[in-house]
Amino acid sequence: MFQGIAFEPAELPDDAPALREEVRDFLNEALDPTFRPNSDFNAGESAEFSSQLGQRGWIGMTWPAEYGGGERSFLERYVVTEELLAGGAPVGAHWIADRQSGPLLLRFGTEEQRQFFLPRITKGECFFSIGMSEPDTGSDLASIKSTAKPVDGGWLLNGSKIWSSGAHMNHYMVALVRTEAPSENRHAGMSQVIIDLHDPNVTIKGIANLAGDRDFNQVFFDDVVIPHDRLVGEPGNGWQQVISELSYERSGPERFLSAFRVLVEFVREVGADPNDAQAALIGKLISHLVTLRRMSISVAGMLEQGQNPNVEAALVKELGNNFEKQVPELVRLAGPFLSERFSQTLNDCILHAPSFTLRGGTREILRGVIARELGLR
Amino acid sequence: MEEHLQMVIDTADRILNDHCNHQIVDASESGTFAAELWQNLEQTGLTLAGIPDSLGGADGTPAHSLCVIRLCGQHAAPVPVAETYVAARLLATSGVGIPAGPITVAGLSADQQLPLTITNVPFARWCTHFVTVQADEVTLWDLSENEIIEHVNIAGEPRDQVVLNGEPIESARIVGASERLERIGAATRVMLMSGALRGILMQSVAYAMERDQFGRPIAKFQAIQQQLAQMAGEVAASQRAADELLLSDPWDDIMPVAIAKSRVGDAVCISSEIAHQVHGAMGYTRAHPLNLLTRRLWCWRDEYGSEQIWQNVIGRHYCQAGTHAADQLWDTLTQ
Ligand SMILES: Cc1cc2nc3c(=O)[nH]c(=O)nc-3n(C[C@H](O)[C@H](O)[C@H](O)COP(=O)(O)OP(=O)(O)OC[C@H]3O[C@@H](n4cnc5c(N)ncnc54)[C@H](O)[C@@H]3O)c2cc1C
Repeated sequence: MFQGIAFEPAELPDDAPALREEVRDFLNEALDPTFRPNSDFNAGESAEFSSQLGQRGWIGMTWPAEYGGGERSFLERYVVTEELLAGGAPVGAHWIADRQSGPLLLRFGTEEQRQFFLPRITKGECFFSIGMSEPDTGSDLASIKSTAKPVDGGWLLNGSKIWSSGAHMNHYMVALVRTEAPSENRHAGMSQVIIDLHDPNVTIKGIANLAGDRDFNQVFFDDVVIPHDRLVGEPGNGWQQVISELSYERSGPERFLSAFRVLVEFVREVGADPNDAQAALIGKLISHLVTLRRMSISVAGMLEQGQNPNVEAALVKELGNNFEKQVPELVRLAGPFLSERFSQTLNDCILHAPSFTLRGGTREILRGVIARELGLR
Repeated sequence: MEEHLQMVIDTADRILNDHCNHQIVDASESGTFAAELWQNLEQTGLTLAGIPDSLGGADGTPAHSLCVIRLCGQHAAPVPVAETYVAARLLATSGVGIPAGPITVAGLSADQQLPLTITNVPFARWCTHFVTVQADEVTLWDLSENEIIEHVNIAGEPRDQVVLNGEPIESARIVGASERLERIGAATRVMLMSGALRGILMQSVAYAMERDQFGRPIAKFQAIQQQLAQMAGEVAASQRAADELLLSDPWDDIMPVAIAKSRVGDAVCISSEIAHQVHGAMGYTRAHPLNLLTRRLWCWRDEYGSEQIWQNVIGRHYCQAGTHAADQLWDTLTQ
């Protein structure tokens, strides 16, 4: 489109319709078929549900068979993930491991790490948290202070991570920590380590979000020993590795489907005969949603071809998050709709919406990434 | 991309670069037809790029024409390439021979009768022929024999009044002709807008890097970067929505056109707003080329149905299943 930015149309594979049907049938069996109000990937988690998904081969779908993966395409994975989200499935437990931690290990992990973690992840038995943010480190990720010092047998970790989603329920955390003192090069001297969240020297304290849910945590490391073989990739290469996860993290359907159930309940409220303003609002939201889907599918197609569409991913997230935030605000004005079902869905979305443009990189940071691609910085 | 399509795009790009510049667009707004631009486009077959050979065209697919039209939008080309394509498509399908020269097109309401007064006819004063569509009837008229009263839109594009008095050259029927005109007409506006949006993004980025304030290019200010990044998102979404029309023929499919007209139209407001904010007072002058594109965008978004009109179409389509609509929404979206 513009210099390096391109969203080449990608086709979903021929088996997509059948795969969709399979997922839908499964969801209707496994979950309440009448009311699943939330399509936010972070809104519900169930180890039991994740293990059922694992049995169906829907975790680690694109990974090699030798690690328990399904050797399917990114586009097939795209279909399954969007079906799970749109269907309001509780995907929170395995989501990060499937989206991010697994691919990271495939790319940078040792053979032993892959053999150990990946099959467990694909079975839906092994869940990961992301450990990037710290009390004094948000957008400026290079300013982290948690430090792992070399000791006999590995590394000794001290410090703290914050906003760690699901850390109280997950098994491991991939954390970015300093393994060398800060130097001129702000991006040097960091490494990614796998922390066993059940280690006695790890303390996890829950933090309630504004909706009152306990989702994220502060995690404290007090002389935690990280064995050598739990460092991922090259010591000191952590920054580059983190950057390489971003297009997986930012381009998926979870970046624009968080408010989808609000649209569904809105359509239910207006029935067959919406007034003009309501019909136009439904049409507007659908035209944005359909376009976002196509852009996200384009990115899945690029990932499938082995490209690294970081900027396209940032664009999907930037547009998608704005869309997710707009949905509840526009829909509420098209009412009032008084059903319990509608109110619950809308209110839930309003309470979670502030997080949409924060988690996974703020709007301002994403716009910075895009501006760089435009040659402005 | 298909080789032939790429060739068409390259040729159109070259001709537009050579024969369409700020002066020529300005001159057109003062009443001078860009004859050389038109001739070059016509001679290379680009004005009928998407019409089959056997029907008098240059033997491409609809995508060929739509890509040429997109480039015309990017260059604010003051020639009726979009209208000629739409008219030719209607004529070709109805079996009426396509005359040479620029052709314009308009829809009539079902109850209009001779003498016909039709307003807002694009470029009529510069066209040799005129195609009207009334319900299923497609009619070809010779414009030299009919009265034209000149009007322009806010972009200075001719949107004339035509009074049809005489006999038409020929008439024929196409099932659903007026709906097809609305769809294909809207598709041309989507392509024009997607080209022009790309144009104003390129201009804005370039301007931000050239213009110095406080001792550095304004591009270095984060406030400017953030706005341009937001605009890039809108433009990227518009490109993607418009690209969909290259994959499915708007002649037959209503939803892709409706979605694209809505999405691209929504991008115009915010993108033109940012483009002007970044350009400062200079962009508010007639002398600066930015307004050639922004004024056209403000017109094209209303032609062949505003965002709201198409959004209504989409909304009603998705609600038609009534009590089942909500539970079927996702299924319908993913088909
Ligand atoms: C629901 C939720 C779940 C999360 N889960 C995790 C998790 O599992 N693991 C994890 O590591 N983190 C997680 N995060 C944290 C998330 O990554 C951070 O919130 C994010 O990186 C922003 O950091 P911050 O909140 O400290 O905001 P800050 O960085 O302090 O930013 C505050 C404001 O300043 C703006 N700002 C900052 N720097 C700049 C700049 N250079 N230019 C312009 N504006 C700037 C920001 O855009 C923002 O608007 C989660 C956050 C949320 C909301």
